Amino acid sequence: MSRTTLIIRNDIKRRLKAPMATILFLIIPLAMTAVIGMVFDPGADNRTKLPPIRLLVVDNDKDLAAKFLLGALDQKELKDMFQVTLTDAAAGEALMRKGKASAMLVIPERFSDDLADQKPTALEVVRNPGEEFLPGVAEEFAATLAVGFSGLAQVFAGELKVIRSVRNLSLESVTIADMTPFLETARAKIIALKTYLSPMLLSVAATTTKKPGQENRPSGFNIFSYIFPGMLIMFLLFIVEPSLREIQNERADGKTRRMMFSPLTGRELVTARIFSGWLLGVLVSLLAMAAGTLLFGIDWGNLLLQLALVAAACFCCAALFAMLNAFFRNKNQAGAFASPIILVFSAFGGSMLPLEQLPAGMRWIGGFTVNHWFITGCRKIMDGHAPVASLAVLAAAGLFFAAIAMVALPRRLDA
Amino acid sequence: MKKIWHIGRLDLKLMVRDKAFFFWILAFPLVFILIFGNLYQGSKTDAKASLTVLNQDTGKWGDYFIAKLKSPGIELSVVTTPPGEYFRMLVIPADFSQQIERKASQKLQFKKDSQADLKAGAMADTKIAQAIVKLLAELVMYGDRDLKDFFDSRSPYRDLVTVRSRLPEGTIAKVPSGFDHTIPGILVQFVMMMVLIYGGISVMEDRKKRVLARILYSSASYAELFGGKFLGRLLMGLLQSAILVGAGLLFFRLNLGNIWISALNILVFAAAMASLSIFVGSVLRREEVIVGVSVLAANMFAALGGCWWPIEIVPPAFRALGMVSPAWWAMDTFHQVIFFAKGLETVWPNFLALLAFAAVFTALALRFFKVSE
Repeated sequence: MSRTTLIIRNDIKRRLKAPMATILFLIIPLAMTAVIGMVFDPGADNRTKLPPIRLLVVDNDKDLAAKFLLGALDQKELKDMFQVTLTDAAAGEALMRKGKASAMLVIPERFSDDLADQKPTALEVVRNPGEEFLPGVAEEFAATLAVGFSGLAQVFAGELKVIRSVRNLSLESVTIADMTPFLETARAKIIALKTYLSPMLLSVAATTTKKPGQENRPSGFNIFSYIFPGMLIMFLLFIVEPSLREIQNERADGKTRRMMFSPLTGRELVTARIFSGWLLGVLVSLLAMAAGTLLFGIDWGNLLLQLALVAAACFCCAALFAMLNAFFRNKNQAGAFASPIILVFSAFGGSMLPLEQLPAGMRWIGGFTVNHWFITGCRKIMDGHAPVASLAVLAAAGLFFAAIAMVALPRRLDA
Repeated sequence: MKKIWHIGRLDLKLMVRDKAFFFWILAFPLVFILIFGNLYQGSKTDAKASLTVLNQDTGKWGDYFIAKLKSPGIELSVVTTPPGEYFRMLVIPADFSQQIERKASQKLQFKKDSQADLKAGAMADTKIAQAIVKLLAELVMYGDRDLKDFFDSRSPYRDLVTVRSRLPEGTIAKVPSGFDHTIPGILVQFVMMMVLIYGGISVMEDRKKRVLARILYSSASYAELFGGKFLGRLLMGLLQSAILVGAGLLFFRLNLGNIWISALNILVFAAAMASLSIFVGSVLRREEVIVGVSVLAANMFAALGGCWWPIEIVPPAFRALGMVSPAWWAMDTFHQVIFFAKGLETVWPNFLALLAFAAVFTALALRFFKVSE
């Protein structure tokens, strides 16, 4: 057995004897993926749903228009969107001060009368200051209601006046002759309504477009398969890094010097360390990917391509840390800088936030990280394409880092 | 007391001397604040729900419909040839006017870039729907007459109903910024991570290197040693918080509400984390394992506690589950104090919960704290 193989075997045996850290770094991406996935799972219809918006409604009008508005809120689509609670002004204000609802919609006094008189009126929306998104949705909904009510009030201005005056009269005092002009104008409007609304004169057909190179969410989108590759590469970096840092530890406690008494060269030691880091990374990745499939139903696409991508990414990670350890002066420096480097890579490379949500500048910097190329490569394979660019970049970068490590790290060991 | 202070201060000094200290305590949290703070504010270029309208109409109705689209909160850009780039684009076809005058139904193409801001997209959707309602209202008011004469004898739509928006009385006066929401979450998460990792590893190393045992050779008692270690970790948490709050006030105009209650919140939360870090450092023997456990615990607590995303968007069951995390109670206190201007009379149950966490963690730390292997 060659000296390099012996060191690799020994390294793997040592990691297997104390597997707790590796197991933890395997559990963390799974746990984080589970949590994020549970919160943002878009469900079967591929649309991320917000929880029902808690909306308090204060009806200070208690007349026709308010009843119409409350009736609208009782429609199925709106019931799914809003959890409406009817309350009075004082209780509503107290609940809002406690943050018990996302927003409160206040229908003003004389709302129906003002509409009938064609006078300006205002719906009031009280926003929960502790919430970021849902009060805005409620406010926009109120704005749409306002437009609808303005339109209806203007269309049926005459009819609203008649309805109001009829309500104040007894039925016996109203004659058919009184009602005829009203019915005639109403008939014309109903015909116009039918012309423009059935079918709708104007509607919108929305489509999503993409720039070249952008990918849309495929049907049957699995959010876990979207999150997990980013988490996996982040914690893969944490798993591979200690294997290479071990060089500094052994140098500090004199083990390297003792090893060099045997006919072992510095390059053999560096090759062995890179290879053991690589092997450990590949093994952990395969385990994590299997767990991802079992727990989250992730379909990784072509497994051979995934294996090639994992192999290239792990090689790149191991070679990167080998190179960095050539520049770290001692184990303390290596320990201090390794984790920040991993976290910066993860923040810019798309492990912490989806690449698409990163600002353009950060995305550009992300192009220099292992994370970026691993994540984009994974997505390509899942979409049924070969990750040629990712494989090429990861392999080339790995070879470049390894070449520097082969030259510089033995010198550091001799120093 | 002097000895406790001496041990605690020394621990803090050792941490400050660490090479990566400023990265962990300042640079990295600031990067997080910048990313997430801006994320919640939406894209700068897309903040006002930009909408490109491609008007190919040859008649008057295209321009008339565009006038209906104009409203606050939306940034219109009207073009007559297809643009190279857009966030979202509404296409008004060449026969738009003819179709309307024929009273024939038509569908306008609305194209959205898959990477455009979703919130701004929803705003544009709403504004288009509102413009359609306004136009239809005018058409219905116009009745069944010939539409060729519409512009001479129409009754224009008026905004009879408007919407007024305000914050609840007795809370804050200004709508909070993305940073007001982000900074407390990042502060809580980084206090957890920093104190657990640094605090846990240093307890483990001091035990392994027999530093703890050597301290006991001095006149310091076991209780003073424990107290000193606790104080050191508490000071770490407070220093981390002070730096982030300072940066927040200086660069992001952070609003902390009642500063004393917010400070008390940080103090109690940091105390709970200080005890937890001693427990973690006492029961675990390897640095990588402490880092792993700390990262796992801090991230899980942060996710459950609402440090990563607005708690209102998570499913209700997940929200209820969050109460098992000390971060949830700290975040809820920040919310009450910052956004609702609440005082001690409201947040005292939160402090009780955090103190209960601190008591449990301290009991565990005391039970497992060892001076040697």
